[in-house]
Amino acid sequence: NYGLANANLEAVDTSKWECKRCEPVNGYHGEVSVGAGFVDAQDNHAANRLGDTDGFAGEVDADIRYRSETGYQAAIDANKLGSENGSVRLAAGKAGLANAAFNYGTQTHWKNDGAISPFAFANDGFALTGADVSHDLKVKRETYGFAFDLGGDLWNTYANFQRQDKTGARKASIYSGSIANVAAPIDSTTDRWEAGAKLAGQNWHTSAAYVASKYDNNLANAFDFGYQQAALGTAPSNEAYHVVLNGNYSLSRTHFAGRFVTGKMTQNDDLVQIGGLNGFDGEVKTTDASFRVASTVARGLRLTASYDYSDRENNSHVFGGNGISVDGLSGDITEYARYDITRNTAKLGASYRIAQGYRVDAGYEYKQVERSDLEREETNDHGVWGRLRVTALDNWNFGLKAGYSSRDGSEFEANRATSSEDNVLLRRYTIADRDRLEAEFKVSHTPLANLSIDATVRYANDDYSDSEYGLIEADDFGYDVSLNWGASDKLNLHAFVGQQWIESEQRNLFQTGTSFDQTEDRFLNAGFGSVYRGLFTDALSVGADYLYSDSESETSVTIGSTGQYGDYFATSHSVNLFSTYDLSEKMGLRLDYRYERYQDSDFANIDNIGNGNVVNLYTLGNLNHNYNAHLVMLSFSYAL
Amino acid sequence: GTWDEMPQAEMEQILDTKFADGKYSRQGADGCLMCHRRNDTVMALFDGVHGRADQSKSPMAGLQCEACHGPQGTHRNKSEPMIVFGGDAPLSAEKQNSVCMSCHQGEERMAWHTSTHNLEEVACADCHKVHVAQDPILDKATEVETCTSCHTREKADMNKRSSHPMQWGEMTCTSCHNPHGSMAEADLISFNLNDTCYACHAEKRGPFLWEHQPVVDNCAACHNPHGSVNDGMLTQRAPQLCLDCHQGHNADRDGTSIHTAGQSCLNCHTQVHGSNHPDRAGSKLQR
Repeated sequence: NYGLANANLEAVDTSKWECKRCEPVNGYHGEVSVGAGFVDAQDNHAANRLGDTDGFAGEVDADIRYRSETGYQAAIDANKLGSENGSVRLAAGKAGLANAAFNYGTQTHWKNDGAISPFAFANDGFALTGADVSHDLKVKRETYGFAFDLGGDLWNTYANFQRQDKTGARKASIYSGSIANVAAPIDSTTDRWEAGAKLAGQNWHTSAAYVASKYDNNLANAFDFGYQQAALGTAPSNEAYHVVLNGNYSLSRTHFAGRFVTGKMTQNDDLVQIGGLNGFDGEVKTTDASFRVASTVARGLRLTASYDYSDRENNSHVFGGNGISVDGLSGDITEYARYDITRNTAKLGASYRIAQGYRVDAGYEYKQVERSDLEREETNDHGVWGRLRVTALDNWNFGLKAGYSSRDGSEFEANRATSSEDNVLLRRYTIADRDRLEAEFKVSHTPLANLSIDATVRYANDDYSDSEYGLIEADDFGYDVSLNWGASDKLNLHAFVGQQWIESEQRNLFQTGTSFDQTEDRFLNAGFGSVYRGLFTDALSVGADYLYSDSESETSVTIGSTGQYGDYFATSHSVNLFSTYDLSEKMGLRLDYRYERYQDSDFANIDNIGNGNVVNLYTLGNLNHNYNAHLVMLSFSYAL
Repeated sequence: GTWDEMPQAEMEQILDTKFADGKYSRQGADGCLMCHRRNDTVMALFDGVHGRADQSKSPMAGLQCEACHGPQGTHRNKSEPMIVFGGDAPLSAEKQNSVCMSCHQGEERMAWHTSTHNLEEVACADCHKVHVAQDPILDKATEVETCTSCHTREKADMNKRSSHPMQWGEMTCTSCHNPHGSMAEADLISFNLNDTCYACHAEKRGPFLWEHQPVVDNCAACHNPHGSVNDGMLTQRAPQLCLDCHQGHNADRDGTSIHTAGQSCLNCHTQVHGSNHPDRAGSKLQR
């Protein structure tokens, strides 16, 4: 251990150390850049890719630092400020004394700019307009907050606050005889406060913190649908509070760490309407405790152990009813359930260096989960894994990892009243018996000092061997290869390709029969890039990046004969050409051109204007995308 | 350099002895810079906090260069190596990191010793740079690039049909994970998996009157936060995902069926994350 605490300082005499040759930089330092350009995009979805919607695009980037001779410093970090996804952070203070920071940012995610619906939102409800109206489906998050800390080497106190305002519209559905997919508004505020204190010594640390979070939905608790009142409930406002205690201690080469968290989540918003129950006081108590130990017990041998306890206790109260819901038609009874979950997880691990450049790791993991009000109350997971890493060979590194885990648990009691909607032979995959096999092989090769090739192959299989109905089996296979070549001091090239296949098999139960379904998710990702520096006496650099991605999912359904769901894919080609030019030692220009070719399809996006194609379903029209988009931006940078 | 070819064990033996002997220099940094000041990387130390003598915790306020690189010993006549850092350094990650960890302790690194990165023998200097004005990995515009140089699967996942917004640094890996380890699974920053998600998705937190058990159990039961070929980062799309646990209403499932078109099961069961509706429609997560 070469830590300062272990240093032999008996013979040190620093009285003559002057540091005359040291050149600390005081005053302002850093770079600011301003960019302006245009986006040409017929689909606002392109903003997810290009950062801005059609039209003018402007942004400011800054990384400016101020340092005084007395140790006080200030900083401004701006990242794409002015775009739909920009942020800025201001900070000032002195390390070991006091610091303050302020942050602001926006994030916008576009789903679709042309969702078509004859229903429009007004006065806390949806009403038929008589015409097909276009809606934007997008979410904008505006985040701001501040942070303070005060204290030195031994103790430190801190407080911070973050607020996130979320606005926009989401895809939702209203069910009332016929079904209408609608653009439902979003308007909420989430606040988070945290305050705490830390105490630290040379080989120990302890801290305590209080964390509070409050979610306020600024909308009514339900939306009407024509004459139907409270047809669509909205997320209720809620709160959460946590107290956190942390501590760690190092004894020579053995390190202990522990944490205890207790908290509760509450919700007592008005119910969507008065019905079977008149009132609700929601309260969930949570307890999380974790303990970790790691020790280098001998040269080359390290042991680790951990234990985690997590408990969710639902103490909610219902008023004015007996907590049983009865289906007027079928007579089915659903009993009000308070879901409690208790987890116990223990892990043991060992890592041993057999020889220089050869290391084996192995571990055992046990997880026990108790869940109330489910047809299976307890599950037990046992898992083992091992790995061999070889770094001893010239120009080659290998890593082979394999793992096996098995889950079983208590008896299924699937015919109980609480699960009457599901068949007794159905096994929910989250609690069903499962055997999992995983393997991964990594290799990296450096045939030349400036050429590296890395490849990884992965395989995983989940076998739900005792499930007759539900998810039966799932395979996940994939690889990726990347190559990096520093062809010269001036030219760098890289390329990569990767594929993944996730296959799953289900035997599905319906009221009208059974089916055998197979789903294959396929993904292909490939790209290359190069940058050449050093044109025009090193003033000009040019570069290019290309990225291709193709996501696709295919589901076949066999009920007697085999049929397939329709197209479900997303394909994109992204190109970025850029050039930087140094005007002077302090000033520079950068020109970017980005091109995006994006297309996706979802067979469920049925153009259903006028409620024609699917009886009793109003869709939001064709939500697929198919566009070309371009961005040109010129940026000017100035180094302080 | 001169010492690059030396076997790691031999190198560590020399440095152990040298560190224990504690033969620090007479002039501190001035002596080191007599030779090393011509190196721009070395001098860039003074652009950042580690090069400042006016910060009490900074190495330059104490043993200067030798605070990190160890006592000079007889290095000046090139007969002994110094402690060096980085992936190519002939020194184990554990030994390298012991230098950094002697100052950088505390809550953010309390679980370092059992963290994935420590067990994988990742050196601090594999990700961090000290001899710079600003460590690039602390800049969210470059953080993801550094992480995904090793985490290639997650790099690919970001380009799937649906993923969290990582492209412009709106979110970064450290929005959810603590690379120095944490007391939660997968080195997540909050107390547990669901609570990490609630930081941005508090509307899913409830507790609702009628809960959907897998929702309160584990967000990852249905979502893959790194990305999916399905919308909404769902591990499977509806109705297949729902059918994994539920008996379906109707086996007839071509694309124009009311059970598959539009929002599939969610056409009627609109409140899959929980409902506050007091009667039957609530228990069926319909309103």
